[in-house]
Amino acid sequence: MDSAVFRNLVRHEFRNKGSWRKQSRIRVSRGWWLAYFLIILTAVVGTMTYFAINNELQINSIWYVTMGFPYMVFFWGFGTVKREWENDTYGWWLTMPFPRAELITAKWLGVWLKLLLGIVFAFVLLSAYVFVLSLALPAYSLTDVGSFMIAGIDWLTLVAGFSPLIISLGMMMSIIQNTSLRPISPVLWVVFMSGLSLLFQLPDSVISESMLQEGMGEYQAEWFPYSWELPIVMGVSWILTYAALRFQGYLLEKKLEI
Amino acid sequence: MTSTIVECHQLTKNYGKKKALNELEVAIPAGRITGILGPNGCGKSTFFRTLTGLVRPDAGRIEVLGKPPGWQNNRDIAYLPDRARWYPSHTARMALEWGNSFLPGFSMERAIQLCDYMDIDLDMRVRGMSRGQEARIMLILCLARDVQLIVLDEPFTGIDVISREAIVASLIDYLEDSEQSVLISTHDIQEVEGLFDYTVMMKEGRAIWSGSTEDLRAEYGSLRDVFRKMYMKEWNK
Repeated sequence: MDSAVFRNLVRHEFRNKGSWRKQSRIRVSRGWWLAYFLIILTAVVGTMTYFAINNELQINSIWYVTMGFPYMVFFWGFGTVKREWENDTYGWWLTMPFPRAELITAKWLGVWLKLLLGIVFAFVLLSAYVFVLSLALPAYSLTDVGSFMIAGIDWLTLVAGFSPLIISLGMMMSIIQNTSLRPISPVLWVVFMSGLSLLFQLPDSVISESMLQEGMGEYQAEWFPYSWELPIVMGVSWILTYAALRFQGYLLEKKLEI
Repeated sequence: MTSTIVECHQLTKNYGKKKALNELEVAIPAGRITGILGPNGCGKSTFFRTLTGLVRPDAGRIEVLGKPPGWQNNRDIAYLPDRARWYPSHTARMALEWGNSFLPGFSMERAIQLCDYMDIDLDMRVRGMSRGQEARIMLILCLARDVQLIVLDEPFTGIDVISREAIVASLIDYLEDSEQSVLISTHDIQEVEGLFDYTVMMKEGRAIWSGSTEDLRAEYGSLRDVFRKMYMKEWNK
């Protein structure tokens, strides 16, 4: 496959959205969705602002709202493959004249790029919120904003760095359900779900436990608060990602049950 | 071009205890419009999935365009999958662009002509289309390709009568002068009676009759009569 075709495949996956299943539900108008979104946003921002006004908000703890990212990433990976079956487009996808390992890699890359965009968006949005707080409330200084941003970069780098593996495992889970290995999928659900929690339990020597708690006043966040073991663990996760994608190519090539 | 476009020997595919393909023996000549006929569950879709490499047979041998099936072979095959849908967020134009980007031999010009002929608005989103319009888009993705073999798996399923007639009419118009080989599976033969010049009748994973459609008619009468005689049990269900 030449690189232009691969780029187009990634672009297709990046933009791919929509589901016939959701389409067949009773449609909720865009106005209602916007209203729900604004209500939730107002509740979250309102609560945080209330605590900030009362000097009870540890601003670095705002990053906890992104703690669900690893699980979300897994289900993005899972959903991107599942959607092909849900939409009955798998026949088109899998009979494209390209090796299936490359089809799956393009899908994976499309999801990862979407995630990176989401991370940047979350970072900018939350940083802007904290910046506004620092302008409006005397309890927060620009130094605190800097510390908040550093803690965010530390945490989100971790999410971005481990997400390639998490996405590929989510995709693998979905693929396995359409292959002759399907009987092992309940076991894999347990393994993957409990395995994800390991990310939060990496030893303190690798990830500082207080990374998201400190960051105000005398406890300023620091750049890269990890030990040298973290890049190694991350590197290993990328190697595992490659292996997982190759394995999925093999499954789609040899073990598909349609 | 090879004299046979598809050749199977003892082709077997099981799903649990069910034999979807049961030692299928068939050779389909090149350059013809071949109807793969049979009732639901007789193995037509499994046969098509096998020849496009979507599923692998458990036993036997299959050659398509003189080669074993696989993604490499799909460069020369335009395949409309069974019960397929299209990406709901695409417009018709985006679907054609998809074809232009990924399907070898795809002609954008021909695709746009076909859209015009089949009355498809290029800027309409697939999610807003009727099933008939969506089916036409998918058909265009196959017909706009300059490839040796076109495989259409139940292209009329779930489509209203008017769209079905329009699709059959365009198929007849388009394929009449084409030198491509075409395989079309269907369990509903009424509208397509005049389309096929070669026929394979399948039952329980086997080809129970194959040959020129003229010979078949000479032996049994109309295709509808053939269906009634060969699939008496299924017909009465």
